[in-house]
Amino acid sequence: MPISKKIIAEIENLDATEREKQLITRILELEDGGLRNYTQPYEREIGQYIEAEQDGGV
Amino acid sequence: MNGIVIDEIRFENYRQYGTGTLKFPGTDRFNLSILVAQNGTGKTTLLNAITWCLYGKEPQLTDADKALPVLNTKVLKETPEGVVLDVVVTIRVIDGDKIIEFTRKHSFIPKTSADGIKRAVPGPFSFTVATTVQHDFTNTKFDTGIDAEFLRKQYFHDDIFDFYFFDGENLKLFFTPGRENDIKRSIYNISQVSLLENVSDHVRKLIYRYTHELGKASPDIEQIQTEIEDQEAAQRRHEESRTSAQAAIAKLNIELNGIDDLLAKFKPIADLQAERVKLEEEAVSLRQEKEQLASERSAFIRRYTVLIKLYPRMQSILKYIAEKEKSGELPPAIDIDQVRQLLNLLDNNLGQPCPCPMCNHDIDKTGRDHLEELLAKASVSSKTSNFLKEIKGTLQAAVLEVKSYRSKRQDFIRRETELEEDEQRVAKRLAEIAKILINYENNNDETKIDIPQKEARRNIIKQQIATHYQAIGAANNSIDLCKQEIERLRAKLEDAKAKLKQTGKTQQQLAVVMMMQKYYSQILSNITGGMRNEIEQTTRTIFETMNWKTQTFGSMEIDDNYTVSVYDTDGLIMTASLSATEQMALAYAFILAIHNASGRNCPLVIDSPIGRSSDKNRESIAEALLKISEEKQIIMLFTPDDFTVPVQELYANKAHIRTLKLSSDERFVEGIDGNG
Repeated sequence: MPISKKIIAEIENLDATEREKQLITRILELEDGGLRNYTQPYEREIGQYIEAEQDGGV
Repeated sequence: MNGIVIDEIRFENYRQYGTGTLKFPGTDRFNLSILVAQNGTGKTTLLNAITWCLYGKEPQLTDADKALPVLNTKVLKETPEGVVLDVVVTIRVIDGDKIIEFTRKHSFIPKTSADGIKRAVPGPFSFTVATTVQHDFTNTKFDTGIDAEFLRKQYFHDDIFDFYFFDGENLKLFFTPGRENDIKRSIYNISQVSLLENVSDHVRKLIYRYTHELGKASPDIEQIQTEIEDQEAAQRRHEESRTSAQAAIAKLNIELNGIDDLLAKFKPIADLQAERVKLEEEAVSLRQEKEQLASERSAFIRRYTVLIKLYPRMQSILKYIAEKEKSGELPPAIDIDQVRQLLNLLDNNLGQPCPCPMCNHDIDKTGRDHLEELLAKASVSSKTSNFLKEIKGTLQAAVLEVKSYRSKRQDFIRRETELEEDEQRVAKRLAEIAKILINYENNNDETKIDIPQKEARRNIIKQQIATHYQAIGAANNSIDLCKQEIERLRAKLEDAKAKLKQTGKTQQQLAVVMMMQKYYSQILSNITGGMRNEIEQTTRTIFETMNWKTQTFGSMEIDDNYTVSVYDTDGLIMTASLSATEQMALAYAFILAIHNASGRNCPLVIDSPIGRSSDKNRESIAEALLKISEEKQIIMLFTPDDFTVPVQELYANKAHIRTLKLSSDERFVEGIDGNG
């Protein structure tokens, strides 16, 4: 249970697409892993999200 | 029951637990394990074992340098020199379908020193985490080093371990002044608010970066972004100043309380000191009342400025309404609009007769003349008359209010005068007391307290505190100004970006991180907004169940810094007047409320859970903890003296209870599985 149920519930209630919710959750999980000052993992996730959006034709 | 549970703890050569396993089964309804052991057997050592395994430290030791080694002393004695001995503690945790084992191992080599004493020379140590999902032990994942620490933090973060594993007897120290920042930080860690803040901070850095990249194509954007960053940096500086001032105040208050305590205990001046404390409280109350009155006065002035200005007009409208009422035109005897409609209909029918809506007879020329006469007589329409009827009451009330201006104004003056007199009275008496104390000669050789010196130091502290409060006020103003400016600049930035016609990767990335920032802000706001109120209510509910008193406690407040204040039924603050047991109950209630609000269901391990409480409080606390164990695992360590008959009866058949004792040579704890 790395991310608390409350935060997960808040994410579920967001007026956001599923992909956006997944990105939000994934970034939290990365941060919880102790990213401190590193942003490359963030950019990788954001890049993957953009590609998926483009492939999904949204 | 959902939640994380400690299934077992395995020891290898660890202190008096030696080598063996302690399991923590619950019962069907309650997840409650109780260990009963005399003082000195190993209750506190069990708490240390947990924290040693998870954090590599044993906080319950008073002085680690003067404590026995973690290696069991009998094993040390019987092992030849040079043979490597491992001390291992493994905590097995179950989280849904996952089994997670946290293992700390520290190797030692027995060696005899020059003084002839055999000691354990520390060697390498390691921390590993083994995760098994759905009992598939063939695919257990092992993590070491940083990865293991990461997993450990997810479950049992460093900043919050004393909210999970603690000594009940230390609970009364929970609310020691100066701990507020620690408590708030811990709450934010437990509830992962800190996590959200860190993510928001990261996302903000990315927004800066992408905006700067875009800004290279548009100098305006670059310039505005730089100004925003400067303002945010300034805001952070002011916030740091504010935090420093708050911390300084907390520290000064500790010293001030110390001096006040000293003065209160010195009999010759104890009464004076008590009088002074009371007067200072009264001064604070008067100041607050004065601020409240000033606010009411401003509102009064604003309202009456408008009322008095409109008074002549209100009077003339009321006069107009009265005239219309007197002449019977208000409300009119007829519906003027309907009359007009009929006349229009007659005109549109080109002189042909129309039926009357009332009697259905045709309206002839005579009837038409009559209608036109009625219309001429009535000078107001239905809608207007209704409106005038509606506002008549409001206008009359407003006029009455204006007429009461003098008496209300007198009332304000009277209250201000009384407050001023009270303030002067209090200030005068405080000055008198200060003068007595600053000139006091302590002829009591035994105490050797330099009263004038303490008094002088007290005055300095008070001045410093006042200065820090002023600094906080100034910082708050500056922060507000920064926020306003940032808002204005952000709007300007959006305009500039909208004008920038550029597509491309950076634009897409920026759009994504802006979306993320919006959602994280929303989540953060929702969680922090509700959390404090939730913690306050839950703390109150649990505190009431843990206390036998029903007529004493009024309300409870938790402020933005998570400082808890308890008030009596008359509204007087009484946090510092709570007994040791009541403080313990309050600390329990607060901790459990934090657990509840955090969204994590983690176990509690409590040494001496009932501490030195007695009678009704003991049973109330014990019952409350039993109830909580329906939802959360609790492991409690009692001495036989604490585990009284009423408590035993309460927990019989509900908790897994075992007794521990020391072996005859006092080197091992007996009562755990496989010890030897």
